[in-house]
Amino acid sequence: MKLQEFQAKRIFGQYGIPVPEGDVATTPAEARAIAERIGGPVVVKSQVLVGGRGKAGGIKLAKSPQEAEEMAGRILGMDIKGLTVKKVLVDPAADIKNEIYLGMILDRATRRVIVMASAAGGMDIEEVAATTPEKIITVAVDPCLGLREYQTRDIALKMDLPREQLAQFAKICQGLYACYMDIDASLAEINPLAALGDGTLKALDGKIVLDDSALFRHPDLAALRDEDEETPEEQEARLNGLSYVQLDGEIGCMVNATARAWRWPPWTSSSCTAASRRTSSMWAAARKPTKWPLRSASFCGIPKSKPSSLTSSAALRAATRSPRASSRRFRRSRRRCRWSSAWSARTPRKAAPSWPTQR
Amino acid sequence: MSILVGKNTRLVVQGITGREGAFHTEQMIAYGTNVVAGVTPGKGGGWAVGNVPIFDSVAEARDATGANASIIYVPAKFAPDSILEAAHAGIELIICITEGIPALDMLKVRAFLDTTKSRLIGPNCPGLITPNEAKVGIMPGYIHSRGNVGLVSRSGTLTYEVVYALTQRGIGQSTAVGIGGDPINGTSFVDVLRLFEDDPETKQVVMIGEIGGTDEEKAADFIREMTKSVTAFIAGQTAPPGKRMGHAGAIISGGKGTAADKIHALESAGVRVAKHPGEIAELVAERM
Repeated sequence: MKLQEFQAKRIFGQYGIPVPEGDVATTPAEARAIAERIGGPVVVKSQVLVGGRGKAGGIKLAKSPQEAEEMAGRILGMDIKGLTVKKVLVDPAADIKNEIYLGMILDRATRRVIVMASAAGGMDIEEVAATTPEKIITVAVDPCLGLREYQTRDIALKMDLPREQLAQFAKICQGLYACYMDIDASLAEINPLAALGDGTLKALDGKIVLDDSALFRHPDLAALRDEDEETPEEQEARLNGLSYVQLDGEIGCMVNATARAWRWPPWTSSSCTAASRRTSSMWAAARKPTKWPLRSASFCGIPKSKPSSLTSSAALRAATRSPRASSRRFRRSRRRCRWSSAWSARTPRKAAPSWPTQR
Repeated sequence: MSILVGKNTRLVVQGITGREGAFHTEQMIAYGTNVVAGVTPGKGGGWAVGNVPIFDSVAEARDATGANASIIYVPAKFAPDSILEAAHAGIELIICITEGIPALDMLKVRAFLDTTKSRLIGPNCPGLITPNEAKVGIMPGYIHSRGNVGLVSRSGTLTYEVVYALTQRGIGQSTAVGIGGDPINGTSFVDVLRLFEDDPETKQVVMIGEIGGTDEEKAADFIREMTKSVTAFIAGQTAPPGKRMGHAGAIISGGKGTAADKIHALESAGVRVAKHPGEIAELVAERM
């Protein structure tokens, strides 16, 4: 589960990481009121759960409350990578001298939480990582020992931070790590951690992705879920414990395991070439082992229709209600579907039976 | 011969009185697995699934029955504890079926396991089976047949499909191992490939990977040194990219971990990579 920037920053604040004193607005008037309270120039930042907001024009500087209102009006309702902006964060503008990147992530290869930092932070950090990887400092944290202070000093020294910022940086690192472990994050990131004109460090952005498996321990964090960020289908799927991926074709796949779902689209798209070259429109997989009745019910061939509920029976009902359910093509696909589980047993073949490829 | 489980396996079931635990214990016994004990704290002294004695702790069960393997059907909230308990009791092979264990819990569990002699398979896996000897997991037993192909897979159900296709062609399996799809697991592809390489019964290996992580790339490096032929499939070739947040993932992976990368790594190590799961059995049959 992803958290919005303002939520992430509030959590960071609780762990002693200095964050700007901004607030969230849902209307331009609210944005203006916040800007008036802050006084001076502000930054109006769209709150959507996707990267690249700045490059998409979702972050604007405003010199006055009027301008803040105007910018908020422009940003609210804007579409960023398919998501509509419904909230903006109004933060005081900062006098940035240098942008530092600081991130933590669980690395499956080393089985450690990795702390990554770079003095060349900011929007182009991925390019920095690709072209000059030596500018990214990484440290693996032993899960039993935790992030030690000497490690944070090491990072700071390798980044050539000014000596007076060492203690500040160490505290922020430790805070971020404590936060990461406490909230069961799978990603926690500050980009930029800005070095300001007065020599202090401040987290001007914050990103947190939580481990969904650990949400049972954090009902308070689970309650932060922004339901506006989900489509109704995604929400219904989540509430039913289903993995759900919306694709752009017209064949639905209901599958009992994620890997199986993954293998379906190429199968359906290649096997249905004669009928259509499009891939599946609904791609759902039961994640919970409690959905055991689904184990024997591989199902494909829902024509373009939005199932009212993603339980098996409802999906089937939705499929059969659809006006195209009576079409020959649909009946044919249903027939295939019924066969799929016992295909090799029912289809006489001269050669050794292979996986069903439709001709 | 086979790997990890077989006739000598003496299995203890952790969470034997739960719904899943009881059901699958019955299935495993029906297949012929030697289930010697069950563990449910607070229910020790009783009997489960007919005549399996229940103990309050794994250590007690091990002392009383000489169990050498454990399978865990305990909810995610308590499963990390169960794994640690089994390792602490000195169980050599621990299989954790449970899905949805918090990753940071597994991080600590794995760090502890590295200091013990226990091997963990999973979590979030279907278990493993040596056909006609022992089924330690939740896979349907009847689709397997005994033979010379070793399987190792990050996926569950996809393994069943491949096993079934092999069996249909008259190609048997030595052992089929599901290592689970969680970010932090106990046993990697390389670990299992090494066991298959040393197993005289196994003549060929099938490896089923998934997108994400770099386990398959590491396996590719190991396969270069293997004498046995390997056939692979990577699931998730058409998975659409999610709405990504943050840069850390991209930086740490360095752009690796996609299906194309994995396929490339495997092919350059001399592995035949199937385009779809149905092709796996064909490729294996060609080399028989």
